[in-house]
Amino acid sequence: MAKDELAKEFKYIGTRPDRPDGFDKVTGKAKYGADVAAVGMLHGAVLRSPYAHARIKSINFEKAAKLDGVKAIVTRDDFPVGIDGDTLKLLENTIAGEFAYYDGHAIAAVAATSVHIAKEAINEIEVEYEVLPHVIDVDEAIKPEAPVVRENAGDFSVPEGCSPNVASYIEFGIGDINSGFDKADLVKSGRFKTEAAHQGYIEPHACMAQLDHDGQGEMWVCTQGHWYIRQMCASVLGLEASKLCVTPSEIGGGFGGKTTIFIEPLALALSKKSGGRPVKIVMSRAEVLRATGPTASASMDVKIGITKDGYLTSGLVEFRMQGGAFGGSPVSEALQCAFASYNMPAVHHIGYDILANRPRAAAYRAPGSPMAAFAVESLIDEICTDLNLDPIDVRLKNAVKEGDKSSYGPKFKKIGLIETLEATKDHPNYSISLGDNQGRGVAAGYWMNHGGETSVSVSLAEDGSVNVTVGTPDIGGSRASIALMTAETYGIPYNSVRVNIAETGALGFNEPTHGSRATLASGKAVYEAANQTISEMCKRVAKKWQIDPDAVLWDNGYAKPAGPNAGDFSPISIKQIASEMDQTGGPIAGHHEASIRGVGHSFGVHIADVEVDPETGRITVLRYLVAQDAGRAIHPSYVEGQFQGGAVQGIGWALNEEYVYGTDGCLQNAAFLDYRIPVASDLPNIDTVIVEVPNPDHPFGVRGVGETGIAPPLPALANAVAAATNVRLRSLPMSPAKVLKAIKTGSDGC
Amino acid sequence: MAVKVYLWSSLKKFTNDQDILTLEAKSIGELLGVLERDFPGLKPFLDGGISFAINGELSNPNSNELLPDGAEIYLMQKLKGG
Repeated sequence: MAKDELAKEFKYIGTRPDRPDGFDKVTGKAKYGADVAAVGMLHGAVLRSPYAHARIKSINFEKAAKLDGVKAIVTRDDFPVGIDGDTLKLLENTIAGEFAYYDGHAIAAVAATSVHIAKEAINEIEVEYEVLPHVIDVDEAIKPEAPVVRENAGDFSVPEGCSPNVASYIEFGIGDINSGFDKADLVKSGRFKTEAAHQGYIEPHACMAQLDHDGQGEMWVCTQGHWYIRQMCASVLGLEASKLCVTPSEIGGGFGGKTTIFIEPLALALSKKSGGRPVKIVMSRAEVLRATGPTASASMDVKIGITKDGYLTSGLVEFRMQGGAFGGSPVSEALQCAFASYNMPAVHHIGYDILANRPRAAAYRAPGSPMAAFAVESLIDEICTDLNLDPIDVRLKNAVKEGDKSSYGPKFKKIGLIETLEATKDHPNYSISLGDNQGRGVAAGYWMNHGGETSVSVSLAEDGSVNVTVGTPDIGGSRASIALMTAETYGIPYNSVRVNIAETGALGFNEPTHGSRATLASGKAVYEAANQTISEMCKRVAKKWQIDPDAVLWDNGYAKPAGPNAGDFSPISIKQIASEMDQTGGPIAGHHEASIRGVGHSFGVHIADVEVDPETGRITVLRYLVAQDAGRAIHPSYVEGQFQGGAVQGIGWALNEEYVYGTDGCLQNAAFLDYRIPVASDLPNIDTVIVEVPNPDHPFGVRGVGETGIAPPLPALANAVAAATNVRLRSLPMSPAKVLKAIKTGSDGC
Repeated sequence: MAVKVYLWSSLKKFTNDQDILTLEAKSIGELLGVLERDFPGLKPFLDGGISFAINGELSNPNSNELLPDGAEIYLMQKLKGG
């Protein structure tokens, strides 16, 4: 449904061809991180802390080094000293120095001729620990008497008197919130909590690295961003970045968790110590869950004022988020998303980034937005229930639109929240009758999207087909979407375009495939690069026709005279131009490098229908609808896939997923049997509506669709459960035990 | 060339209790220099990585970018995405 004053007909955009990488992926031919191998390759394994917090008094690896087949062992002593700031945090998280800060923190690594020998050697390393007090829960960690995770960890922003575990502090707002609350007919507040959830990518982290003593090296790695990997590895190992060449493998999911380093510097250090032999490290699932970034856990207070006819007058949030032992929770983004869907006269935001003895939080799909949505959208639903107001109507009355100031300041350009709300209200799912123990929940969500540093190149092959080279790994179908935009720009068939993901030596710097940016940013850059080649083709044809280059236009794969005054020439196809390249001036190629501007904000609205078993507390999702403004759906199937994927991850976060820690601070459920992500049999079909309010600052109207979809499920399901049971759960996940307790006692779970 | 710089209120302690600053700057680079010179307490914030919104458009900082007269500029912590 295009709501598009810029609407025009497209030949390829909006079609649904097979993705170029699809056949290889479904037949097992595609090469993922663990599939890489090399002659003389060694296998690495990592010794990890069994304690949540401990001083490392000594490490003795004499026995391990004597094992036949062990070629290298590294500890923190093998890494540079004198590093500080964020690089020191990266290094500390890669391999522990004086302290182990969480269960699973890397202590040492071994390279051996087989995986079995490497693991055996790990068991032979003797570490003497002094166990220290630990803290896991975010509300415990902020107390003044809590064990101190890291001394002097607070930055410039932390006010005096805060707990030593507060790493940073943020506060901002607009308007007078007290006046806003005074004008409200109803003021409601509540505390909400969410547990940490892992990104849950199917492919564990894997890499193979080779590093010589002269500092030249190569790495093959499963990552969302290989320039980030190069930059981070170079900084923690003291290498020159350009001497390290990083090639991305295919990637089995990342969702933000593969935008940073974990095992990669260990593999490089082991390679160097073993005389430059390639070293491969593949994480187990337990290692992934114990040592790689989940998102933050959160404790959130919300207060909202509203008039009796449904106009929001004021809002206040205080979010406390723990981001592990080194800080970095997405509290800033969470605050920006909290009230972003609403045009409110007054809002105020307070946020604390808090340390705990947990793995360092990594980005996870719309970082911070799902937690913020859970707190704010749940409370708005409570208000709608109290005032007997329709939840979509209330959101429509308050929805932001073009020209409104966002809750965090900047004005919105063209956005599509109102169109998205209208799409959900009109959808049949919103009017289906519900039975006993069934309930319906509605919630909105927001993500700002991102442009970022981008570099691409485009070249013509001699037969008129086109090679596109980008630096954004293909996670969700971006090869297909970039090929479609390229085909549209040239006016050539989709199958005549091949999109390659280049290694770090082939292009300038690229940010990762993160921030919903790959199709937006690489697509915009490819459009610019392709138009360079079109301009060059028109110039060459102009020379051939002996007319001015401005008198040649490009139309649907052909150079043509711009009008009758340009002369009477037959159009020349891209195939002919390409076949004559060697005689008309040589290769035709274009490139574009930029920090991409023109980001389009994205809003989504979800409707969940659930049934709650009053005897067991089990929640069954009966039907589920995602409506989201895509700007323009370049390949609608992969847009729908992103909507559905985000919804499923949000459903898992809402219903099942959580990190369970013992009293010893160790993770108790480091396996998919116990860390329960939803599978196909747990879910109904996820219905989708692609709303298209094109982004006017993108040549094809793209906004980016990857992240927004994970935010609304948390509150949509909580709102549906409240409607089904008349009990409000303010703590996630809504496990059967928690739901049953709520039904029996009225507990909100906090 | 005067521009308005909006800061989050938790940074007011470094800017004489102001969260809206009117400053003379032709480019992003010049603006960052003026902020650092006039409000040295902001340096750790600026060095920690920031994102800009210039007249509503979010972006990474580009020190060479020229600023429109009267531009509304929001300084935020560098945005992370998944």
